[in-house]
Amino acid sequence: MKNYMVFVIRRLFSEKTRVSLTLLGIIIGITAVVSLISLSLGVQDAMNSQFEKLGTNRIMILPGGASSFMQASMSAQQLTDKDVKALNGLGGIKYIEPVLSRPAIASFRGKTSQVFLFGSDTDEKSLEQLKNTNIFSIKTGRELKSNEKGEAVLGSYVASKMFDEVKVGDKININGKTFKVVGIQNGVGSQVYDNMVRISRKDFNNLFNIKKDVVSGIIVWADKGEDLNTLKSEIEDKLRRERHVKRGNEDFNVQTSEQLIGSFRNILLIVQILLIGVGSISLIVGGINIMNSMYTSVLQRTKEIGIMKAIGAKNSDIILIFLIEAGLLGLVGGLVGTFLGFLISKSAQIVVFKILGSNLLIINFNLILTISALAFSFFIGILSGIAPAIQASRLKPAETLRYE
Amino acid sequence: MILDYFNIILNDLKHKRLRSWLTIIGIIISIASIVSLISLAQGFKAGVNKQFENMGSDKITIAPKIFVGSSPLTKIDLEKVKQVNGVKSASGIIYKIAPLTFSNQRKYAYLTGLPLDKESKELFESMKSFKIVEGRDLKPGDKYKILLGSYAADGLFSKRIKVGDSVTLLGKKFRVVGIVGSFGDREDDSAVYVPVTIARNLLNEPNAEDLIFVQVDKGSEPEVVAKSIEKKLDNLYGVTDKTEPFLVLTNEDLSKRINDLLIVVQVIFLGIAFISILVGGVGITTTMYTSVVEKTKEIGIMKAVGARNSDILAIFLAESSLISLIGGIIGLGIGVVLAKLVQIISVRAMATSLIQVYLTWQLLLGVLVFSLFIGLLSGLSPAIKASKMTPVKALRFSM
Repeated sequence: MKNYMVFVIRRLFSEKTRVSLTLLGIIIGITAVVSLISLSLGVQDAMNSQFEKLGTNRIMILPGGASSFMQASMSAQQLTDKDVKALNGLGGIKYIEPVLSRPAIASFRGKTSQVFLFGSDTDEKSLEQLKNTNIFSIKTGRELKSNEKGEAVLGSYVASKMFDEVKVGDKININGKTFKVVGIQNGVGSQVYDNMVRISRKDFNNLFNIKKDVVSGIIVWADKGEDLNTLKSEIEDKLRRERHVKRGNEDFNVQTSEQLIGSFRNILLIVQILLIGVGSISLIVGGINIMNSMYTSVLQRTKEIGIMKAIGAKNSDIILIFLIEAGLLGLVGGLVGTFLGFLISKSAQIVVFKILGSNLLIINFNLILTISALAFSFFIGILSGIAPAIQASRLKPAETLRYE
Repeated sequence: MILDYFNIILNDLKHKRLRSWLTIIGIIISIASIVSLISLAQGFKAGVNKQFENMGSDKITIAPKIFVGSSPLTKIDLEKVKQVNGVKSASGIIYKIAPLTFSNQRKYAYLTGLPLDKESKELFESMKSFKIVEGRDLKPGDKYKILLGSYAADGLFSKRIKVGDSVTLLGKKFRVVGIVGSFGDREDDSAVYVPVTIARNLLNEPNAEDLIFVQVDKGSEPEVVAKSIEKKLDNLYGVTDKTEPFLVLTNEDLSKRINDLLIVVQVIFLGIAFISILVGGVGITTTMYTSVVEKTKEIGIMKAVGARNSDILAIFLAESSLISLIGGIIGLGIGVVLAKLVQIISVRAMATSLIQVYLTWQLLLGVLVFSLFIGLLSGLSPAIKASKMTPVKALRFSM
């Protein structure tokens, strides 16, 4: 076996043009697939960590027909403070967050950007509860105050990166109205919560012309270790009674964070399959190149094969030699391709960092990906080599020696 | 002369059938994927543009900046818009997701509140895409009457809804008076239409306008009118161009926005697909180098009997471009079939008329020229190597 390897490698070096061109083909294919996979895994990781940072122990309640808080205002049905109150008696709940949230346009010193605008209840009890969630904690300045109008608390990204540095005391314009910045939140690493601007519920309702007791949705933060599915059906029971609807006729929609993550994953999976599928086409073409190259190799070595057979090489020996050659082509192509793929996705990460200024996309380049890329390229090599190798092994010594 | 070249090459291709065909298959796969991607993307683009064309280029849409349903617009804005110079008529609709019940099944549909005054009716009728295919349109004086989008009527519920049936919307009974023809996408086809006054009552939204449509006067430039509407609303809200919470879009703006987005998607997918043609081209180069080595003696003989360097160059370039061209032609055929399959499957699965294969002669010609070009490019370096051989060395060569 070792002898075969040395033999094959020596032969490969004697035919630089053919071998390097064949390698080039497989390198390009592997590079494309590896960089696409590591990038899309990176996107997937980014998404997962977003969800984890918010905690996976959450249950979202939305008005019927809406599939996100941002869509809540499109639903003809509404959730109200009454629904929030109805949930108060349930056990296993850490905090019930009435969500008032809409996308809005914020501008500061001539720069304009989209933010998630949140409305917060400013009575004492609600503010106390707000403090206890680690998501809305204040870094500088103070929390919103009841009876104060036109005050805003900014998410960390809005304050530090979105515009020029915004400080407590500055004025910021939201959907055409001016607000005074009173506080800046700690960063939590979430795209939604760091891109938020929080104002009092009264101001929020005025801005969007919303009735006093309407909420976009409700987030229930469950206690640690609580079974979300049980809690979910308890919530559904409570709300059915509160809203006088029968089972199957609900005008609201309860989702655990797992369900929500699941639906995001499905969308991402489709995109991944499409991208990698199109990327793999080049790998198929690369495999065909190897096969082609191997047929040429067989042809050029017709005489050699004849001699080997004449001095006693078995068919299986010939097959092995050619499979080693093909496999080696695939493997070397895979090695270089994996490395280049890593470089490309790494530079994509750097570009994303430069553009967004956040560490959101960190490419996922793990051992499993590396090993499977190498194994796969080796496998493609072997697969493309099978037919040529068999052809070589079937050559008749007498005929081959006569071959010119 | 050229015919002679071709004879030499065709003979060659016949002899080394397997290798040539493997090289050609590489090109076929790449070209097929590129052709199917482009033809589908162009079909999608054409479908979208047709929808805009149907709406008419003399319309302006005023929408909330981020998405429909979070409207800051009100009846007051609508009245102000009507006063703007160049506006012939303007009309607002209500647009919400609402529960629809039929034969004990409950689904969500897009509830659209349509104004029924004469001006509004004219405006909506001039949008050619809105067509009643069964029953009749809503008319002034209608109360609890409803029009269903094609999917809302047939597909949303397990039973088909017919004109004359009753459905329950937001707890009230409505009689179906007509069915609207398909727009080609599921969201629009899931819409149901009721008189706007009824919608306002049910939703308790006396003043909001989710979308405002404007008909521009004949002879006025939609662009100019859109600008003046924007200015008027900016003044009304005390906002600037950048902070305004709404968009004033001519149909050209709208289609441009969507086209820009489509181009990005197209570039990404085509970019990845082009990698495969690169690999295919490398395959041609490999094959051609082998071919040159194998024909070393022949080249020597040709040169010895007086062939010039340029003759040798031409023969090898012709061979590589022929390989690529054959791949291009077959790939084109397979790509079109593939795209058609995608179209048929997606029409079955999603009832969308937006995924359509769209073939232009520019695409067909472009692909052929492109594959010819790839062949020439990949064959260049082997051909130069062949042409530069010295006859004496070539004749001495043995494999």
